[in-house]
Amino acid sequence: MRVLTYLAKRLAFVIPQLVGIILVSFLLVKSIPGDPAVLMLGPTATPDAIAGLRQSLGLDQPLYMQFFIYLKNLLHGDLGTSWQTTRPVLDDLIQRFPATLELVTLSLLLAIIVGVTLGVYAARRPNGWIARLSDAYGLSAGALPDFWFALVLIFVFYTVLHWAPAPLGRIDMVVIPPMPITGAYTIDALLAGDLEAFWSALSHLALPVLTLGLLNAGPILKMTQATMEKMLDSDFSRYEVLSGVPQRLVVRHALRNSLPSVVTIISVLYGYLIGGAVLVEIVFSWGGAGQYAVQGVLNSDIYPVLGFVLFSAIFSLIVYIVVDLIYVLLDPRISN
Amino acid sequence: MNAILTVENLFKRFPIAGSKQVVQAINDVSFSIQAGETLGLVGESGSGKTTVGRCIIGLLEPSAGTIRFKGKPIAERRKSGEAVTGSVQFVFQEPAESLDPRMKIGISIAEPLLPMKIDRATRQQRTLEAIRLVRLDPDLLDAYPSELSAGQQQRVGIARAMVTQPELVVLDEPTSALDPTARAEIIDLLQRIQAERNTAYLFISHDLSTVRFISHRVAVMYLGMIVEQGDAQTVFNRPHHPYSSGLLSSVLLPHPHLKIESSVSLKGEIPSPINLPKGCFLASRCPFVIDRCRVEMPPPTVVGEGHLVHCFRHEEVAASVPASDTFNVFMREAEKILGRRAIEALPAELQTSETRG
Amino acid sequence: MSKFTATLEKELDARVATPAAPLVAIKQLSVEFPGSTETKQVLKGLSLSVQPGEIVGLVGESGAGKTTLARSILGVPPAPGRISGGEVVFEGRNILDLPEPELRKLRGRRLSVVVPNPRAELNPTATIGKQIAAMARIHLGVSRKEAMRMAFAMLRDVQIPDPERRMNAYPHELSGGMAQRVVIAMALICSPAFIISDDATSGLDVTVQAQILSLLERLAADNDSAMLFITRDIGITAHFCSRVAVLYAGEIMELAPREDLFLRPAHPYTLMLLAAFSHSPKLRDAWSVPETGRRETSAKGCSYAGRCPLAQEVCRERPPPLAEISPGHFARCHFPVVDR
Repeated sequence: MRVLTYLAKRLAFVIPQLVGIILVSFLLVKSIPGDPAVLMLGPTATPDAIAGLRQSLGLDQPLYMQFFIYLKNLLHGDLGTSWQTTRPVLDDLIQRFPATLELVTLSLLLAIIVGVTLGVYAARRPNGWIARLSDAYGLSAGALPDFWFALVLIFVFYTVLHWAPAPLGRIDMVVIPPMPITGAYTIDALLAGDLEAFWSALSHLALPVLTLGLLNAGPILKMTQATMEKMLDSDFSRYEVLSGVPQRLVVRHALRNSLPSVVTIISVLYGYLIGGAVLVEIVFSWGGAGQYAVQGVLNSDIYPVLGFVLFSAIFSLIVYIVVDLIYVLLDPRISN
Repeated sequence: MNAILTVENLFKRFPIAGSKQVVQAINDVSFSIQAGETLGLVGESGSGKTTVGRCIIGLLEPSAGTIRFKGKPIAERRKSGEAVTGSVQFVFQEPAESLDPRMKIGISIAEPLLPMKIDRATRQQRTLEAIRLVRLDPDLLDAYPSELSAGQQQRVGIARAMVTQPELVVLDEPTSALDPTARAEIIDLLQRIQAERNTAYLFISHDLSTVRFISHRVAVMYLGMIVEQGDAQTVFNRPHHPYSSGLLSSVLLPHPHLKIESSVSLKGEIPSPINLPKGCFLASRCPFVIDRCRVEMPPPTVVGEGHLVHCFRHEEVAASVPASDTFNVFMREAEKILGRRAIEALPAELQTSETRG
Repeated sequence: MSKFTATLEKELDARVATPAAPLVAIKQLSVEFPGSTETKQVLKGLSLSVQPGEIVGLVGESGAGKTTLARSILGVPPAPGRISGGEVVFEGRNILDLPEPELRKLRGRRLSVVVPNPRAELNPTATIGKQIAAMARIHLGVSRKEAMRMAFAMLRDVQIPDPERRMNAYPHELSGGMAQRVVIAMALICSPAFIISDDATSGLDVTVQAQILSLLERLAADNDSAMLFITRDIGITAHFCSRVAVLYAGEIMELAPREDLFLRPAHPYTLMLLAAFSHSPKLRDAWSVPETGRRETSAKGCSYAGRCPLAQEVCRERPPPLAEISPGHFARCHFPVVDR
């Protein structure tokens, strides 16, 4: 019951938060130099044609009017049209956002498995070789650029070993993508019972997921290690040791108490990666949402950018609400 | 005699965030302290004794009631700027936490002088006097708190309070974090300073044997109320309130045959100060309880000169055990035990024998 | 509380009089803490034995090595300390030689510890009932249901009001005194032969302390457990222990049956501790050397020499042995105070 009232309170704040986010990003995007009308018509356009286009795009209106028009259209489910793809932004994003989400979610799962496992082992023996390895790993994971690491992986696993498919999209050209249901190829292929498409999608995911997963395991590892060390050194862990509790149980209880911090860093990474995966998306020609937004920025195509910001914001807000609920479940001290 | 501090009908309530309930930390507390006198304020944790101290030094604003310093309400004094003269000072429990670890001892001690606009030379002079007063080597003025033992740190805390030559010092558990030897030294020091300077103390503590020996008068607090107050020796020798008696019976003196007799053994723990019962607050833990106690708060009753008690059955409580001066009996015993002399040297036949223990 | 003074007085003294095979014998236990510049000896060849069913008090000020001793007996000295010598013989075996899995089976099962600041010592994310039951499940191998039943019985035994509700409570919902009862329940659920109480009553109010002491007393007697009662409050040991040891700088300075220690103390340090409690400035001045400047420690000789009003040249030169000055009464001093 308490959870429900809490949820209701949180959701009431979502709408004003979203309007705020849209306003700020609208102003930012508008401040990018470059006239869409000029870019759309090309270098040979006449001034009259440009002015006409500006008028039909509403660019001659004052800024606040443009914002209200955008908001009004939003309420009708119209996120504007991209002049590059000439398709409604909503359609583009519905196709591309799941691609990014699939990539980022799987990468994060890998990062969690690697980071939490190594972090726990490193904390158990602060002077052991795993701890030293973790230190080196945490440092290099933070220092390596993701696109560079992606290129190294492509070189090794595609160019040299031929283990991975060509870094050109989410599925083999010759394989027909499954009917979109969730938008994630792997899930959709499984739902359709199409194993060929599933394996193809999975093999295309391998290298980008390795890239993002291994690099983002770094912060999770450091956070797990630091919190676990603190928890294993805490009074209650020590008392368990003094009471003859087997070490695996001591570690399990300490991990249980470390989870809130680990969940925090995971949620931050999740929100960040939606846009932060863009370089990797470009390297693997992923066709994801981040790539779509960056091209929008480069070409003064503002509606894809705004649409992407809106999608990411909603996603992040959902992640944060879920995380808050997880905190309540993890720590009995919060519920009061 | 002129009271240096008078507290009249003091109340303090803390609202609980996100709730309509309030914590009733202090409930109608009145007492006074004379110049050069020590009033011991005792009680369990949660009794509100620290809150009383914080109201007096102005860290907390009372919800109702007046606190007068030399007849003038402290709220007025603060407005008129008289408060900066440092005539009311304080010492806290944790010496290490009340000193800035990156500040030299000398600077810490001189700090309370800064708002008083005293010139540098006088300031140095007063700081030097203060450190001598607490019997620390003046060399330590250049030391950092971490170089000092806990007992020495507390001496610095006292020097910092004394540097403004206060007339009243609120001491909130100043010895509780200390080992017995350091504790004894601090008590000794406080008494010496009082004798020299006629400083009044409000000594807040849960350590009854310390309070017994440092205080002239004592006030026993329970759930934000002073349930009994009076001359320290009288209250300790023949408590009239079951709570005072129960507290005293819990004191363990380091002597296997000495025990403070009491007919009260307090069961359970101090209840929450959020929903206070209608009658006497102790009713749920008190062996002397009668029906009346559960519905009616006992009024203050004068049972001797300056001896006030809130209990319907104070006569039965006082008569339930013979009056005894166990603390003084212990002191006399200790004099006998500790008055023995050392032998010239350990006899040779014992010099080599090692433990079997 | 008043119960254990009068009636148990005789019983306690009877225990001292009848020597039996010790349950626990700590022999020449040394623990050192390696530091960046020098290695600090925290326990210096400490020997102490506890008879079955006996309560031995160990008094020391902060830094004397109390907690180090409590935890080293269980083979886990506080970091970065390491046991550099000595034995802890329990039921005929040196438990410090046992491999970790063997030792773990003893801890919490046969040798239990009760710790101070109990709210921090309990796992904040597990219910009280589960934490107590875990001890029974781990050490006695009983079923989950049986363990929960035992935990509930134990909660009643430690006199927690409303035990049904407390089984599902979390540590932060308990007062310090309640949490201390829970820790005692955890320590005693397996009926250990030996209980180490490491300053278990510090930080509690006197009335709660009295309740906890009589609880420990009763449960130890019911189980026939022996106890090492470590504390900084010498007053408790005068009423609660049959023998008392005084610890200073990692060494036992005096060890004696309760009556001897409190009525005929021999070591100047013990006398100073008692003087500190006497509230007589005269006695305090006689037995203590006030600390004014930075404290000096002598490397050789008696570790108390720097603070001792009786110290002579020899005290700074040669460490005194722990000598038996009367039957069962030991003092580590060249010039012990004795009745003549």
